[in-house]
Amino acid sequence: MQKVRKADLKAVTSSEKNAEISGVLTQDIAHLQKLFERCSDFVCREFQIGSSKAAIFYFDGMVKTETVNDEILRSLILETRMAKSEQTEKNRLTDFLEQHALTVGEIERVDTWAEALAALYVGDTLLLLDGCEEAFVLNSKGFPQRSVDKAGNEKVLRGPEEAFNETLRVNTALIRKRVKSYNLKMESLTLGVNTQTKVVLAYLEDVANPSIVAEAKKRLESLQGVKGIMESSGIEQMIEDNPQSVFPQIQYSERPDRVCQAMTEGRIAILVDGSPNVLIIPALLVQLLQSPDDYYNRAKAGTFMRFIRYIGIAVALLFPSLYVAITSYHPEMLPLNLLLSIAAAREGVPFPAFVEALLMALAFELLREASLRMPSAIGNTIGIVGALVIGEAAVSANLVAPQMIVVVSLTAIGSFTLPSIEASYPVRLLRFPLMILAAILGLYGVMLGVIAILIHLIKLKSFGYPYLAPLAPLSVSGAKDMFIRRSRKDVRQKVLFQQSPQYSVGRSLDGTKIIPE
Amino acid sequence: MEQKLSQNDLFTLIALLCHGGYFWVLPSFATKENGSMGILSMLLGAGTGLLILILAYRLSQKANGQPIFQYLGQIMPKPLAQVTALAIWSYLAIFLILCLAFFTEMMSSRLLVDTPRWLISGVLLFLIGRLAALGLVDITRFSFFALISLLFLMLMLILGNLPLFEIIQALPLVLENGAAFVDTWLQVSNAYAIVLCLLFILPRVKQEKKNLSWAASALVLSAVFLSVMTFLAMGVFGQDFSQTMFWMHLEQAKIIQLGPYLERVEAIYVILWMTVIFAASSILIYCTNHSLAQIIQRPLTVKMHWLLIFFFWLCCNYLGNMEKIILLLGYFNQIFFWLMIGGLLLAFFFAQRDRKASNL
Repeated sequence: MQKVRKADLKAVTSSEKNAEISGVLTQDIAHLQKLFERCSDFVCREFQIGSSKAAIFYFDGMVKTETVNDEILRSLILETRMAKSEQTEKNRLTDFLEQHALTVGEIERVDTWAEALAALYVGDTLLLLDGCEEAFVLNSKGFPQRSVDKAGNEKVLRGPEEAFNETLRVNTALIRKRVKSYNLKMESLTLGVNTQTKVVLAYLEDVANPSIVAEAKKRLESLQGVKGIMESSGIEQMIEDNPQSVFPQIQYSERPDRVCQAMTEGRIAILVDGSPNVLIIPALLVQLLQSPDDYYNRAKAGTFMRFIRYIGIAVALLFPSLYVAITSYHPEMLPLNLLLSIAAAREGVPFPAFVEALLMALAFELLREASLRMPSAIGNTIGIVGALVIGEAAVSANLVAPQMIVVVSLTAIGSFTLPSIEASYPVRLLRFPLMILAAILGLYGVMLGVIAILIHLIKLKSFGYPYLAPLAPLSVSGAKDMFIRRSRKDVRQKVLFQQSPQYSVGRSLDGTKIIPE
Repeated sequence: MEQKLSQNDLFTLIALLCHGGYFWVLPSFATKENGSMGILSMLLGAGTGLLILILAYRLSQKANGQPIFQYLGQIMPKPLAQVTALAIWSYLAIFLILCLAFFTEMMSSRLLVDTPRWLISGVLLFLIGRLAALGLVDITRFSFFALISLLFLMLMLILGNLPLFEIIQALPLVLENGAAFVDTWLQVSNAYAIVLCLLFILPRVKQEKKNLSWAASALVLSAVFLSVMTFLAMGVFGQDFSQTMFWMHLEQAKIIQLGPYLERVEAIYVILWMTVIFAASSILIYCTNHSLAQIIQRPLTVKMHWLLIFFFWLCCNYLGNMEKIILLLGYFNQIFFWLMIGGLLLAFFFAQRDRKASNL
């Protein structure tokens, strides 16, 4: 059974933290009933063991009823009846119960309310005995959970299909199943004052950089005062280096194979109870753009797909702004025939190219959002019909030129090549300011925008590691696998993040913000 | 722990400094009076740059990691050290202003005729200031991308011009006007003297053997590349026509054709060149601002950094046309360059004397 560790209990309210179990059953029952008054799912069952009074407590729905009935109650009531009377004497009762009566797999004794409550919250059953200042924590977890399913958001053509679900122990098991090593460590923390969410920090001790592990622990422990943690995204936004950035500095994955691969590269996984998305730190930009498929396919195919993806990203980010800049400011760059064709198509369109592009890009984002919120059966239909009907109607009504439909469609297709959703948001968001810059300053504006993004990326760090590594700073060995998918032997042996992380500094002794040298 | 730069980083920074500054106008300055012989003046100017690089390297070595102006304060009388530091700072500041003014002028006259100059230079300086504020390590990371752009652009220019190149047009190599040649040589020397920035970069580079060789090879390669491209321009346009051009490389970029689909790609060329300008200017701003902070013996605060950027922007806008830029360039060549050289030699002299004294 997962140990209820004192370190995990910091989030329990201070009044409960040090209070100890009194040993007077009526008092203890009253204490618990007061704590859980108006909690209809809280169950208290009193009974007799020999001459002693006892009671069990649990949350209905959080426990496996069979375990409570057969392995706890039946054992306690029936088995003890057959026991000799001296075995059930008060001073020997606890040992007898532990050694002979209780048939549950994992038992632990605790003596404070904080430990007892923490166990109750995770689906264990609490057994209290009159005259005993300790409580038995009996493993009876049986809360509802989803079975291991296929990965929905990170599909691959080849390779394993199972995905994490919302149950922490299922997720840790999926990792343990793949990494059969005593070096796989899983450190547990409890975060969230009200939610008491279990968080597990998983890493390979022989590969992971201890300073990243320490930093991750430090950042996670700083969240202990947070009221509630429901999902890994909540943690992600609170522990990343620059939460204001549009670029994600922590990767997440629902695929155990991807997480295990990351751990073999020296990265750390953060599993959060209740979340099917496992966080992976540190995360570099190149890693967000790679798909597990790259490695499941042959090297050449993987390289080709990677290039297609990079082109897709460039198209998704830059195509509309380049169209606006070239048609508005630098038409002389286009061959005459193309220029004439664009000019002819735009004849009668009342808006400048920028407004056209903005309208169509917004319409596309609206369609995408609408199709996401609709039931899946009609979501796709909405997308296709919406795009066709609106596009066709907009061209017929002379609101936009046909070329603009091509530009926006290619942009949309390009943005779908990104393997992870979190990496596609920056591209979708940054497209708009780039279009505005293109409308104001032409190609100069587009380049300024690109440079601004580049400067931001250069500044960005993920747990102290430069976000653009291994490109900037350049590491030839690290960059080997960036464009050209290397052979499995090379890739599987790479261990990143061995250098010490660099955390930002920028203040003088008197606290003034200074420019780093 | 302070992050140190590698020799690769040093190479990148020096190469970009050599290209980022006067790249667009240097061929025109060099060849205007001398024709193809101007290329020789470019190579000689690079030679002078090399001497300054060696001088800066030795001085920096003697400073042994401490800020250079602080070191000068220890080996020279205080007022003399201050004057030397100010001479070096004013050289850096005016070089920076000229670079920005040239680039703004080119953007304004060629690509964005209707856009106000203050907007062009404003957004440019804002982003350069942002990059410079991140420190030398991040500037170097950015410079890596700029170096890739630089290599790509040079290749594009050379390959794009080669089919039209006729060596006969670039010949003969005759020295007609000795005085003009010397004048050009000094002008080019002035441009390459920016490798003086090594004084502020070297303390951040890992102390390894061959640091000087890496920095020198960056300068030499830049000079060779620039000379090759200028010679190419002579062979493509002919000596007489080339001498009338001001933005020679821009004209070279204009004649590149990417198949039948894209023509007049000079816009793309200039736009991609922006990364080089960005990297070079941010190195310059880094050196200029940090050197001023050393002079006033205060840490470079964010406020001070942006105030200086604002000052550079004002100066850049004041030089509203080519006439004013050329006028400042004249002062720069005749006064500030010599002041800087004098300061550098004086500092070196005192450093040598200091070493001899400590040996005794």
